[in-house]
Amino acid sequence: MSLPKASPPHLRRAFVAVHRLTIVISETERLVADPVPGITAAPHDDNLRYFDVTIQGPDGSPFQQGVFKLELFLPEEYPMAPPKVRFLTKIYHPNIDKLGRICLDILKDKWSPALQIRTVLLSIQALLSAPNPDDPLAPDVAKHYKENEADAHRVSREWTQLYASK
Amino acid sequence: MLLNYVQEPNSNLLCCICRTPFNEPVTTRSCSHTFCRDCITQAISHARQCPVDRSVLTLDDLVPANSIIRSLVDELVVECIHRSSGCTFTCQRQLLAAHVMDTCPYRTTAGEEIEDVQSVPCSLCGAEFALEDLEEHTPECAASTVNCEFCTLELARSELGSHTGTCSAAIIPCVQVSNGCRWTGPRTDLKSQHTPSCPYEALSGFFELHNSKFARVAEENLFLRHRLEVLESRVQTQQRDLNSAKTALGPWFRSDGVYAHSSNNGGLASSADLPLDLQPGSASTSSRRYSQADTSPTFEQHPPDALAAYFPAEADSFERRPGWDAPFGAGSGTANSQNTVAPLNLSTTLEGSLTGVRASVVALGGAVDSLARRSDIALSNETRRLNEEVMSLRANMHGLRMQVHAIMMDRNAQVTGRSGEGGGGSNSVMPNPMSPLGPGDGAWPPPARFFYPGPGGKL
Repeated sequence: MSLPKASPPHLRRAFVAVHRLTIVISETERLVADPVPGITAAPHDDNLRYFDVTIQGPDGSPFQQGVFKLELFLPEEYPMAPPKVRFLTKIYHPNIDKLGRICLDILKDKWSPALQIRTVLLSIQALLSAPNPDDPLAPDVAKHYKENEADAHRVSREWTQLYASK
Repeated sequence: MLLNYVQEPNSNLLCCICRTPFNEPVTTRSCSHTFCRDCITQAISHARQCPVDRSVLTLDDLVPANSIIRSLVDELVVECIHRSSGCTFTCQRQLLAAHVMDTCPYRTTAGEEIEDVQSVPCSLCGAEFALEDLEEHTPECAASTVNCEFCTLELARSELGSHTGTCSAAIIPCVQVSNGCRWTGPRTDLKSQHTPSCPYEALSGFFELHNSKFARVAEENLFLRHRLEVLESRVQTQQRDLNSAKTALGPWFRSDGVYAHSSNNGGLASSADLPLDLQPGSASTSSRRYSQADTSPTFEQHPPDALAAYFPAEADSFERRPGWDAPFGAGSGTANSQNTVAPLNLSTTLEGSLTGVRASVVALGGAVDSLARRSDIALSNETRRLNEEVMSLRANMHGLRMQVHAIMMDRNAQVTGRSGEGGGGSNSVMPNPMSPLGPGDGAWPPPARFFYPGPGGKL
């Protein structure tokens, strides 16, 4: 049910806010009802826009067997603006820096309102499988990956063992 | 406002932005993707691209979706929005609006709710505000009660201002604060305790007198400052004029001497006698300034030295120039060999000098004229004499030529031996170089004889 065109602006703003919140709620419901394998996302009780996320390290990658914790926040403008995602678990990856920030285009300029929490988390999982040292966020890790990939994989495995084991 | 659909809608009918069945579906003209109108409008306002394929998109690219899609979403069965209140009515989505407006048993409640959202009366002053505006209004509502911060009396906000001005407990400064009293305290204590003991209060009469005097002086000072500014600007313009006049005057300008002396004695009168601005030097000008200054209150307290700053440079600068320095001494000294000006009498006025110069020029013109005439005559005389000389020289030349001719004829006759064929008048066979007349006749025809100069021809 939509609002009449000539409604006052404050009512319209309130309507848009409610509408966006219902999008968040319905999306959360679907996420819980139909979870993605290897990924969990649970909203905080006191803040429906703040999610605790875990991602399993994809098989065949140095992060295999690891379970990585992330936080995900949906800003007011979501789905028009991208969610903010950050790794909480330490990880040795060329596109993720010490603070856990992620270099992923769909989280920045390539965001589209048609993307969802589900697709974002799947993209992050895919980033673990396929590190991209040519577009680095952690230059030293990227250098390591480019110069001696085998050794870098060894360090990534060690870090996964150290910080991301269940 | 979120609608509950009785059946799970077909996923093809869901807007990919809000994940609910299309509401007012629109389709993009360029890439044929369908969205709710509100969703895609907002998305374009954030980024001008299609949310699905990121192709460039503007609001102009949106057209209402195919009527089949609209029918499909409009005919989805939905529950009444008052289900939580107890209404179990379900109908097609397009009919729900009519139900909620007209037939729903819970519609009145809904109407009131909407009223509440749209405008809420302020509980204090009764004016109606939108819910958002009310929050801003409440803390500044004139009817709200506040406590006086001094006497804790509770009163309306609108009365607070007038109360603070009279509140007996309010902390106020001493009435003599402008004169330096630092006492502050409750209003009640001011009259009863502080005023009798305030040292400034005792002097209040003096302060009043002093203040009025001070105000008068300040006013006068302002007036004087204004006058000073006006006069300064006038001095500057006159200085400029003076400088240009000096430049024009050149050597006739003198910074001291006779005129400075007389103007010092006679003031304006002597300056007025002179041709307009031709003679007075900077000294006389400055003395005129002083005579003006004597009548003006502005300069009363200033010693002349204070004004000297306005007039010093010109005299110095002129004296420093050697070319202009020389004429000053020309009247007295003979040693001024580098005098750049003709020997004019610099002790007269400029006008007199100019007249003298003009007379000299006229005389010079006459002299030049007569000189030209004389030289003309001399030239013509000389020319005539030279002409005669040339004529006589030409005659001599001719005589010489004839003689040479005769000699050549004689010699010719000697060599060829045909002397006898010549004129009978000649008896000698041998050429006679000593006789120029002899061999003139010979092979030459008689007309040659005609040119023969007579025996009396001069050589």
